[in-house]
Amino acid sequence: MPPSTDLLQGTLDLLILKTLELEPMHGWGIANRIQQVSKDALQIGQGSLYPALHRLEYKGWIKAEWASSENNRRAKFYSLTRAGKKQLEAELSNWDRLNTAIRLVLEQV
Amino acid sequence: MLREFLTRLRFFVSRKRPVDLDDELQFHLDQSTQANIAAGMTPEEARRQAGIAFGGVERTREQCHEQRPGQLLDAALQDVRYALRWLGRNPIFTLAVITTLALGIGATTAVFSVVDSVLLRPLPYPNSERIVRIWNTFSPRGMTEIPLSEPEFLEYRQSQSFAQVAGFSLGTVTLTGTGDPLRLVASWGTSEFFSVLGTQPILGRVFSSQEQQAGHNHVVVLSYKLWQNRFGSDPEIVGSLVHVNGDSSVVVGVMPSSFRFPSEDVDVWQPLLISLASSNLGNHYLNLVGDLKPEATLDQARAEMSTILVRVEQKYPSYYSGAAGIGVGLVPLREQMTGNARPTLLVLMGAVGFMLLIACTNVSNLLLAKAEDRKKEIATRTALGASRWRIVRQVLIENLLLFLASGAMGLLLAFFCLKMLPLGESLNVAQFGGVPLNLRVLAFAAIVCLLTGLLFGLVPALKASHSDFNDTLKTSGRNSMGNRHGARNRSLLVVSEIAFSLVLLAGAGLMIGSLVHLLGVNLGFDPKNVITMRMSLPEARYPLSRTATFYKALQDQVRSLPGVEAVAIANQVPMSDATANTSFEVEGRLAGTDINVADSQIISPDYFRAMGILLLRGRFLSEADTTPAPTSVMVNQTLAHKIWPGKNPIGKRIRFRSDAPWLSVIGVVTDIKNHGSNVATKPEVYFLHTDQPSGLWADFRSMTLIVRTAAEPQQTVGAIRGELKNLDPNLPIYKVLTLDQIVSASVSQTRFPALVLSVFAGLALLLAAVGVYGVLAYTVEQSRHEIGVRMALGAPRAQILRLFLGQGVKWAMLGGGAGLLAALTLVRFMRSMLFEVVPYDPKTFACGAAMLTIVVLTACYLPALRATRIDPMAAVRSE
Repeated sequence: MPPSTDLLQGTLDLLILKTLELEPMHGWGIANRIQQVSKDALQIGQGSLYPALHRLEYKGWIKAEWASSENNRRAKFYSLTRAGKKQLEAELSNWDRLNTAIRLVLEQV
Repeated sequence: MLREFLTRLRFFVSRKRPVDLDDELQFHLDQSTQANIAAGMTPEEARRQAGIAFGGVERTREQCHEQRPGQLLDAALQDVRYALRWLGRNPIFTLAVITTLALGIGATTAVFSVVDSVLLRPLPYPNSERIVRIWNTFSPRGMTEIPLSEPEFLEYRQSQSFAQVAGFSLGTVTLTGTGDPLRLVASWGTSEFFSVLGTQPILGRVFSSQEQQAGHNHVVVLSYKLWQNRFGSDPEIVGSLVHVNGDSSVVVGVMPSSFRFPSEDVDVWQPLLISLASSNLGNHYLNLVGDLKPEATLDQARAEMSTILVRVEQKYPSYYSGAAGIGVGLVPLREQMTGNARPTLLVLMGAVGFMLLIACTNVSNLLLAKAEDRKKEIATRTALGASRWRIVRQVLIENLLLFLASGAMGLLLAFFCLKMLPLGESLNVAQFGGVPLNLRVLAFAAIVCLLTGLLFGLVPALKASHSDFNDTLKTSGRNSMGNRHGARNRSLLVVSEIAFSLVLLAGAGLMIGSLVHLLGVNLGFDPKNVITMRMSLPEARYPLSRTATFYKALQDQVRSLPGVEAVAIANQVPMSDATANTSFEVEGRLAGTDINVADSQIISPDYFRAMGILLLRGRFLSEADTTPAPTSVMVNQTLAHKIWPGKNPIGKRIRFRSDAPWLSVIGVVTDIKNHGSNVATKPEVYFLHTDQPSGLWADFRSMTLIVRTAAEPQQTVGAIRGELKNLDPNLPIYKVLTLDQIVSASVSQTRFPALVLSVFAGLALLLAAVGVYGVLAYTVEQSRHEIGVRMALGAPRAQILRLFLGQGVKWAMLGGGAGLLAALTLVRFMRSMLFEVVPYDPKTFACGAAMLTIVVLTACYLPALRATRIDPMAAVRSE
């Protein structure tokens, strides 16, 4: 297993929100999706995933429902709320700004 | 933002079920296991790998819980529950802490609420900060508050610094009509009176300017108290007629209960008529009050008033020619009302602050000792993963709980103290409306509580958390005297306690010394077995001739009562009623070369016998001296010495006005303390009560009956009342007091702080003794092992005793020294409260230090004795 890249503070929230933008998912699914899409570069530890999910839920950005999973087991599915969508947009533009800024610095110096 | 808040609120109120989280995490594990099986692992290996990959389930669960809003509060509540359990398991400790602190906080709160109500709370008049009392001063005699005459008032009124200046006077009237006759305190004010103070009536109106003119002035404004008590709060009272001093007057308004100007007990207000042409320069009866214009300062007003006074002096040169040194004094209303209560209150506040410090020090000591005891418990908790912050928080919460409980108890204590103490009279504060525990006082108590809790609770809390797990478990409670750091802390606390106590002892000692001096003053009269009561004959029914007959008849009737030794009347009883004074001329001296002023005492012949005042020269006055007209007066020693130094005053003559007859001095009596034990005697003239005032301006109708009895004087009051009823059933009497009571009340301004300071000092001493005892007992307990070893090695018991007593001596020396320095710098603030005692009275300080040393050594003796009784074998083996 390749070593996981340390996630920038607050980036996990963004990744979770982005992943949930497509469809409602359970925690396991979210972790898997991020790992796959990042080609195993990002591995989300459960120790940080679930507290983050709960934090986002408490903030009202995502909501949770129990539903049947693909293999017919009860699982907790998270989906974006309206506030969550807005938050995602805000964080995306934030991320862009940060990204641009960092790139500028790296190319200049 | 709002939505987020609402969501948080929802989760705060309704918790998620814990099962939810368990299921969720289990699902994750299962998925992970299945993925591993799919990758080709055996089910067992798959589950193991999934578990490893997941990490600590418990930790994740904790962290998820911690995301919950209000989680901190939960933890705090848990701490509180734990703290309560812990305190409950240590009842003696808890009780000791709470009692000590409740005493400190209670006393502090009580004193603060008095300070608050007297010095801090705004006066109940709009614009009260700009209201100023105006007096004349006369520096050659050290007179600072001379009332003004009408011509002076008419000039002062034109000042540009004041929006308005009002004149008023205070006296008594009799209310008749429905019910018993009632003697009322009345105030007469000029038209500006109510508008200077700015208070609106709750019913009706105040006087109109028209009612300030003769013939229209039969109107009266009632106080709230009188309206309530006499007229049953009748809402229709305005417009009805009442009989004041026999005149019928119309009630035009009722003032709110907060309006108590110019005195606390004033019942009615009436217009004061002053003719614009008044030239009555000699009658200084007017009190002045004015409201400064917003743009004017007190200094400007002072300067302006001085120029006005110069103008007055130029206008009446003959009257003021001998008055070099006359000036104007402006005193802000609050200062006037709090008077000398201010230094007393500030000193008491300081004293109680010291007591609180001592209480806190003691508690801090207890907490530190307790922290030592808890080292093992805390080390165990640390080992189980509690963070340092968590431990500090825990101990801090315990301490805050203790302080809050003590605060609540303290408030109760303060409340009862204030209920029980006669504060108003003890402090001699005008406008003292009682001491309710208001919000400011509650806030003060809460702040004191929290601050002391944090300050004195934090250090022990930090210390408690600082224990090293390994060290603690290894030493397993064995603490030799080598625990130097803790010992030094505890010693420091004890030493400061001793120092604070000495400051309080010195203060109390000085006050007690003053009180003893005050009580030892030779009053010049004999207050034993004398009853006094005051009455005012209404002017409408009593012209001067009838007044004289009435008082003569009254004295004759009372004289015939059984047990009565002497009966007299006087316009003023020492240390009690307001004194009247008069100026006089001396025969053979140029008029106007000096201002001769004396207290004017109007008396009946038996006055000196009734009061027990001794004759020095000449003879007493008798009835013969007033028929057909008054020919003689008596004077006191001070006057005789001042006017005719070194000469025989008998036969010398004086007169009260240039157009009045001369009066011969026929006798000289000893000085009496007329204005209070601590006030120097003033010149006094004694003039017989008569229907011919001979130029003396004074109130001949308001007199105090003085009756000397063979036994307990209170028993004759009923009989005297009966005689009075026979003479005039409509005459109220008031101020029924024994002379002893009057004298005793006059020293209350010294007795009260002396009492309070003594109580504080006593408590401080007790607390310090407890503190010393506690610390030394603790040290002995901690050093059992060492003592055992020393004894086993042959140290005699006396040496052990000396070792610990020596500790006490060291504390007493250090604390006593520091306290002496502190006391020496602080006692000067008490100067104005002391009487014939210098603040740096060496005797007082020596006594205080000796007392403290004895107490400290006594407190040390018991633990030291216990140290000598330690069985060396047991002590050494027990480890």
